[in-house]
Amino acid sequence: MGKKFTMTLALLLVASMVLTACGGGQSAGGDKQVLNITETGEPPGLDSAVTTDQISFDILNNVTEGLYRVDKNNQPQPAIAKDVEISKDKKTYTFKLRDAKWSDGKPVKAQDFEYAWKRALDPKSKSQYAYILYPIKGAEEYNTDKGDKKDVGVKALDDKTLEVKLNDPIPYFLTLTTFATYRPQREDIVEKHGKEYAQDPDKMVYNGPFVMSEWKHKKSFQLKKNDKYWDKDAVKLDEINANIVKETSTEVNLYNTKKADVINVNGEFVDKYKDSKELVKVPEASNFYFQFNTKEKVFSNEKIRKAFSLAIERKTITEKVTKDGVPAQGIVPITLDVNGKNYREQAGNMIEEDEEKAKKLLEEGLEELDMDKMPSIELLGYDRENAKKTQEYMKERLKNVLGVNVEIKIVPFKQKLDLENAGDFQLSFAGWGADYNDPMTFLELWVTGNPYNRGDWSNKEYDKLIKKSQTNADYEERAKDLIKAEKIAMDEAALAPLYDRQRLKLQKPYVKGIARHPFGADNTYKWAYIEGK
Amino acid sequence: MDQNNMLEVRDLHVSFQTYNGEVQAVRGVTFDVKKGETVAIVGESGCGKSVTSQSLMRLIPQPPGQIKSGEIWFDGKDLTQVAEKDMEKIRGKDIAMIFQDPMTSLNPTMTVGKQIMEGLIKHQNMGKDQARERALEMLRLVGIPSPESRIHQYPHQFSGGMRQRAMIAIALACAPKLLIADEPTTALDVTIQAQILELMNDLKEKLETSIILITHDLGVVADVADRVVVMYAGKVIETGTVEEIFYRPRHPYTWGLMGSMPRLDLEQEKELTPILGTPPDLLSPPKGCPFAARCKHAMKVCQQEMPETTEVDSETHKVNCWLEHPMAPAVEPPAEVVGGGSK
Amino acid sequence: MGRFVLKRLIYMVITLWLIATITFFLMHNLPGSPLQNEEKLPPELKEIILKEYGLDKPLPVQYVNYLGNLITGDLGNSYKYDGRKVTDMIMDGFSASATLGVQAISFGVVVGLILGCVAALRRGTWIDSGATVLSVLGVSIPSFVLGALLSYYVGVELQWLPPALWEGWEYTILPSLALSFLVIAQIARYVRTEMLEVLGQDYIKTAKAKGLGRPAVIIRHALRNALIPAITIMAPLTVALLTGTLVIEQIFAIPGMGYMFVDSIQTNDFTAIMGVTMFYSFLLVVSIFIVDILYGIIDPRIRLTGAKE
Repeated sequence: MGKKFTMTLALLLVASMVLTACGGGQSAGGDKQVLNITETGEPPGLDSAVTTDQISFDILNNVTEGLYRVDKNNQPQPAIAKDVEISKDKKTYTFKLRDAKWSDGKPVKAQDFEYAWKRALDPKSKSQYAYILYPIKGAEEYNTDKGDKKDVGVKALDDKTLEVKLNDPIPYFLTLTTFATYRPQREDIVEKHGKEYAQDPDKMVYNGPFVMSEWKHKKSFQLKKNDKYWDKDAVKLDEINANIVKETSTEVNLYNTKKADVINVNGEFVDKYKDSKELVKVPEASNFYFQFNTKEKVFSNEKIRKAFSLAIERKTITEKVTKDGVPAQGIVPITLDVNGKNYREQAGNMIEEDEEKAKKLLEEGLEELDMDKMPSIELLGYDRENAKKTQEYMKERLKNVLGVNVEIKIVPFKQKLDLENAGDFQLSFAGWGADYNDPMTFLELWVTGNPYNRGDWSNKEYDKLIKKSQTNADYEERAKDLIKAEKIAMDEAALAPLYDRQRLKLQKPYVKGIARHPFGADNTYKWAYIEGK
Repeated sequence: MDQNNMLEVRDLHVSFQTYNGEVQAVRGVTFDVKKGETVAIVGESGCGKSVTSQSLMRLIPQPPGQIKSGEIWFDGKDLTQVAEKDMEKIRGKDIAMIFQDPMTSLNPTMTVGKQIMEGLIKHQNMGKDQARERALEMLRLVGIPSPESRIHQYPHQFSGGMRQRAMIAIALACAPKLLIADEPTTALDVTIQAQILELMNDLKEKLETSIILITHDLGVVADVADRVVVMYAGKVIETGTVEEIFYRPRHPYTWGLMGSMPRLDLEQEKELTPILGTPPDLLSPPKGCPFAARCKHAMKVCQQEMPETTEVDSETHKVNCWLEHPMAPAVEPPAEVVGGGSK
Repeated sequence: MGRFVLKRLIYMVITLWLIATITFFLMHNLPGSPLQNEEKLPPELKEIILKEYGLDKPLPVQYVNYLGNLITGDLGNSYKYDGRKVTDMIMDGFSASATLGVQAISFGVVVGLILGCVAALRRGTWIDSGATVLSVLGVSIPSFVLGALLSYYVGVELQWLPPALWEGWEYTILPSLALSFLVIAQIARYVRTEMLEVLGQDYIKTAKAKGLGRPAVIIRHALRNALIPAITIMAPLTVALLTGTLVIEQIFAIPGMGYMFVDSIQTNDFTAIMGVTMFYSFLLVVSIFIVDILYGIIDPRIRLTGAKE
């Protein structure tokens, strides 16, 4: 009796679910192309000149457009710029703008770029990403109050021509122009709204594939197709609805009740969806590593540093511990390109793992330092979930392989930065994300005297190679030099790379065509569509 | 039922169920209260006098308490048989009650006036204004000064004596036929006690109310009671008029009670002699006379069988003691108890 | 009564000032700055931006400025959400949090009260045992666990109610329920204990002796007295509820104050932290104030001692 009842109930439930599923499919699968997504936080503001956070970048990438836009393969393609003329010394870029319009019908002009970039550089704007404009001549000087606004190397020659002068012939400048800080802004609109600019959908204008049609702060926002967009025929989605959901398990609940088509998940959910086609792994141009403080006696020794790096099993971390990454192959993440080609494919895997060798090197290192025993090491870590897990694993691992006692000191992330900047650590768990698509965004960190070179590792040859590459207009040679430099840093174990992070997403099979990027903004919805829902 | 009787209690048994078993708190109590009479029930604490009085109003908590058997005749009705709804109509209207501790027996969160009016509105079908008038009248009657302002005050703004007056006002508001006063003066200091007793006596005359006075204070009894019921271990062991009990007590327990109380009415100084021993455990009460174990004059039969009720001297004086049996040896009460010789 | 209220008001202001001061200095001792892109920001640029925010001034100067603004009700602009006024942000979040809190409290109080009363009046029966079990569970299960369970089982498995989001009344049910459980448990426990105690009081006997029926005795005499201790726990309960909302809002993706609070602390958004803390403190102090007044209304003894002082 009881069993029968349960069965009936189960059948009823299944039937009702099927029915509701069908119903939903019909209504939403009509003419309108709607994508429902979740975001993990409230965008702090959509002022492209000052914003720094990933969610704002993502929205801006879809509602605004710069000179160039990264395509599905993460290569810069002309967008508001029709084409570009690059001078022989590769230090002057002259962009020709196409006939694009803002959402209020006014044309997008070269002056809009000049205004926006200079605005970002104005110290009064407090833009925390202004430094991304530093390759431009006079930019850093103006931003740090040492130079003048008029000396900044960006100039609208006429409404449709923008001339940019660079300090150095960098090969990745076109990619930089896809970045949020490089977007155009309308002076009249910014002036009109003042402090409230871009805080609400009606307090800004748009020139991207979508416009923001609704923004309920901390709750949700909605993007709608922009019919003033120059390439509107390529845009298929009519509407994107985003709910702000901080908790991953909540996102999963929404995903499972069909209230969201694409969500973010973390390592905890990977096992459950391991074999599901709905699990999407997006490699990020960011890596995590151990930074040795070479000012500390034990880590001044190269062999000991190397021993630590050799002792780590990176696959264990990415498969069993954090579950949201791939083992690092060097300092530069796997996803980055140099000269439009994958960097790592050219540089190869520079990571070596060898327990026996690690033990041997540790002994030799101690001998060189005239020490009989490895002292207990303090690992500076921070309090985020994956960081904590990785730190715990490392403690265990270093104890087992090298017999080293590691004590973990967990502090809030911001405090960790303070301690690192003060050089007040022995070994620290750190991470870095790419600002642009070039190995330089990582490799320049370990140059002597760079404020981010927190472990104070120093190598003259390395410094020379990086310095040369910063101004080298011969891009082939430059690529080779960068590989050489990375090899030096790895040989001396300036740091011990651990893993490149991946973003994990669940995506319904009927969602197609979302372009995902390892750097800059996460997603481009311009080419996305719904099929077979 | 005797026409002169306000209340007749017949063979009342009340028990409480506890974890250890059944406590037989009242074991066959029988007594009468005549119209306009004040009957005092006296005895040590735990003798069942409070349980008896609360049983009369069916106020013992049920469970664990239960009226096992017996009859309570009041106004032609056996109160043990009356439905709860009808009982509510009797409580406060026909029978009212005053409790021992005026500090705790008034609701601290309700004005005194409202507490008096409540019963009036319920029983006398009075409107609010009418009830207020009557409440003021009652406060005046019980001697509370400036009742117009007092009526709006809360119990904590009253002194102990005033609270007891207020209690009396509540109890007498509906002019009940019977007032049960459970140790009404015990918690008060001596001067106030006298005032309250005087007030009760006064009001009894005015309102022609019968009173059952529960007390262990024989001084109080002497002042106000007409008749006395002496209880011990859930049983009535002696009843009589005040004179009979005070001057010609027959039960050794009553002797003990007299001997342990200070007496202002006796001329000579007397030494107080407490009754030795403790009352029996009512979980398993003795088969015979419950006082036997503490009685100097106990005989063999005392342990075995409960003595019959015997009328002595007059038809009002009754005692349950084997010493009254013709075959029992003559025992004289201790001299210090009976000043009676002089009377 | 007037004096009592005035005195309470003065205490309130002093409490708020103390909280403002302590939070201000504690917060400025937090490691890190309110900058967003701190790990990448060039040190030079960092200094310039801090100067723009006025964070380079000596702490006492900042403190005085801050207090001055606070008195005029100006909580300043958020550091993270640069163009937004903290006051607006609080108001944005407050409506959701308030809806949640008020629903949870009122539902919890009503159910808790009924449960506690019934348990006391039916002492020793299965209802009583059930209420006791429920109380223990309610006190020991944190609201976020319950919230997660409700969201999953009722929201995802049964699909009776939405598992999260904040779109309409049906969306408020599960989070309110999750929050109210603690309230139900606490109130039921207190009311039951108090009710049992009150029912044994002499004045209840007096009320019965007056011939009042059971409902009148319970409602007019017992309940009011049993409520007094229940009201005293309302203030700590409100606090518990406030902290509960922090997590519940996260689980159910509710755009409330909790979101703002957690967010502002994580990003060292000084003005927002201060704003939310002050607002929470204000709420709390006011709720304690209301409880005090309520207490005075229900228990005349309190009111009077207050006035005599």
